[in-house]
Amino acid sequence: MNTVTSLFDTPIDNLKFDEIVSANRNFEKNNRIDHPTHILFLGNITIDPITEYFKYLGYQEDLPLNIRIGGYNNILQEIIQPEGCLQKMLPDVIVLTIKMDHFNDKYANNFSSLKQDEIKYIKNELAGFIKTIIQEIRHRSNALILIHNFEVPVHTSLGILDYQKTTLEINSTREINQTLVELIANFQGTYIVDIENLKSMIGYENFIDNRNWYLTRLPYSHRALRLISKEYMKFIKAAKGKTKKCLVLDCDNTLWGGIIGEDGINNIQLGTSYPGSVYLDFQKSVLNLYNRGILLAICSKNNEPDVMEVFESHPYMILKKDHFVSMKINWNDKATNLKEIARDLNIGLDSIVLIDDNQFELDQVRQILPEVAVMKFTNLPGGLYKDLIYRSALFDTLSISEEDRLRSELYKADVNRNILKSKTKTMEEFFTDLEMEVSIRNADNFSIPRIAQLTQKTNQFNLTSRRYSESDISCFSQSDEWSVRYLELNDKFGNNGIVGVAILHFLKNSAVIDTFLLSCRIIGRTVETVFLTDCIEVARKKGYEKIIGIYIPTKKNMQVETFYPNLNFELTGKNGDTVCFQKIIRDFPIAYPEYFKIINRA
Amino acid sequence: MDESRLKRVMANIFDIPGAEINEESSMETIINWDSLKHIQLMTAIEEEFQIILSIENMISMTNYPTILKVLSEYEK
Repeated sequence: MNTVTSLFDTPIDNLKFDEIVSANRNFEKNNRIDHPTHILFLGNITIDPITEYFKYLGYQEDLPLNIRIGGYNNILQEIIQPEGCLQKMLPDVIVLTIKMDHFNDKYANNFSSLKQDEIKYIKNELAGFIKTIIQEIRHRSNALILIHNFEVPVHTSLGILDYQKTTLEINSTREINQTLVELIANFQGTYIVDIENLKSMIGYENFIDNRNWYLTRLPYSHRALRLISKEYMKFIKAAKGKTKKCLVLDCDNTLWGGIIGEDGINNIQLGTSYPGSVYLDFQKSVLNLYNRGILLAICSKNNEPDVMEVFESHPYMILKKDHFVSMKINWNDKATNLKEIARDLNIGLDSIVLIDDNQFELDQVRQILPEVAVMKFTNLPGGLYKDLIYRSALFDTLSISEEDRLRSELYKADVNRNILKSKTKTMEEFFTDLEMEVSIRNADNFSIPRIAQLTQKTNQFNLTSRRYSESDISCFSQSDEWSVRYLELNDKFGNNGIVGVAILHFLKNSAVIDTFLLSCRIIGRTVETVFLTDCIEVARKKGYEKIIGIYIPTKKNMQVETFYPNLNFELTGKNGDTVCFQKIIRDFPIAYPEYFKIINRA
Repeated sequence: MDESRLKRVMANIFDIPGAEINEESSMETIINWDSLKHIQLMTAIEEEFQIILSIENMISMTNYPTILKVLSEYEK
């Protein structure tokens, strides 16, 4: 795959349009595209040129895209008809690009001629239309649905008067967008692409290109198309689990200005006036990430007492020691420290983002650990330090679960567990002292978001690495042919939340374990034996004599290669990379350790 | 006017060798040159030569000589 990296190394914004077209084509001519993500565009505008930007970004992320544009203004036909794009393509993602001009020209271009009840009628009709589209898609597909919201007009006939009233053009269109947000809340796997927000990022005059509109009904400028395709990519990366988990920060000239070891606590820059205010604002944005469940760590070349003094005594230090799950303050090289952080937290290096001001350090990390994302804390245009992390979208997810909000607490409990571990003699004693309680249940509305998230994000203890959306999980849980089980683990240090998912698929002669995964947080606690026992029990109750386990190797799940054989499953065959195992259920049950207390198995 | 830059852009957009592009090239002679590709060509030309074309220019630039003519006007 070396060709991929060399061909798509250049950031998209450094390339002209024809160079992007050419890079995509060269790659497609010389490579077989395996397992592309299928994207279907449906709408009432022309959007075709966006495919080149979108494909380029996909190749960059090693997520090849197969893009198809449905018939112009044929949205429902493409969804419903047997020969329509939806049935023919079976897309993974559907993008809806609906523009008001071709839904109701009067509303878009002659608003002043409409009476209040007509406006109300059009708005209801539009909401009904979009609802129908989503429903018709959902009857047939679990694809991720991305909906463009509506452009709020910039220039109106009433000018400054227009935005004084909720009923006039600007606020009325804002209300439509609000209604859209309320509407999608009723559907799983359905998200808004906030075109209005993107438009405000670069401004109306840069976003809209009326020449394209009049010649081909493409409303956007190419600059806008670049921006929109990047936005799509954020959703796809999040859906594919390419989300970072941990932010590692340097201290000097990152958390504060100056060098603590030389300048001392009274002279570093951190406070309410410039330049200290830059660092204070940056810390506030980091705190926001902490609050949404991103793990924070420090990796800094300093004397530890100097840094601790800042954490403990500086009045403007918004970030506290307690916010960090790991601190590496020493003179080792950063790559070594980052590897230790990954090991301590049991996360992959590709889940880590490093922010540092030192180009040399960043280059070194990039060389030694290319999977770590690095960002430089200097020379940002317009002083947007505060937006540095948000803009990167590296931590964007499709949902925030209760587990996410509690994550740092959970990791802190881990630290306490490790203290207990060092005090007790054998692992057996340690596990007994932990007083672990397991409950295993069928998926329900409360657990579905977290279950989907675990299938998307879990890489290590994951036998098949199959990624599912919330609507997939919801479908499985309602089907007789599937069973979705989730595992919660509590111990005397706290509730770990939902940390395991197993999905069983009931075929004619056997039950297949389609998905079996555990969160990295609880790997090594041997709870997988309890969970597998439960799966077998579910299959037995359904009347099956045989249960089948599958292992699909990835770069990251080597540790579970021998999971099934270790538990007396017998190897039955290989199909490409996929390895199949089976177990005759009546043979003998799997024994699980006595230190687990099973409190609920419904 | 550096014609090689224009030929590179057209070759990339239409997926044909640059050597095949000449005075005869037009929307009629190049199979891939449809109305959607035309808009893409216009964007690529704007980016390459750092100009902003008028909509009238865009409509007229459907053959190689006219493109050259329009570009030379921008050079003045």
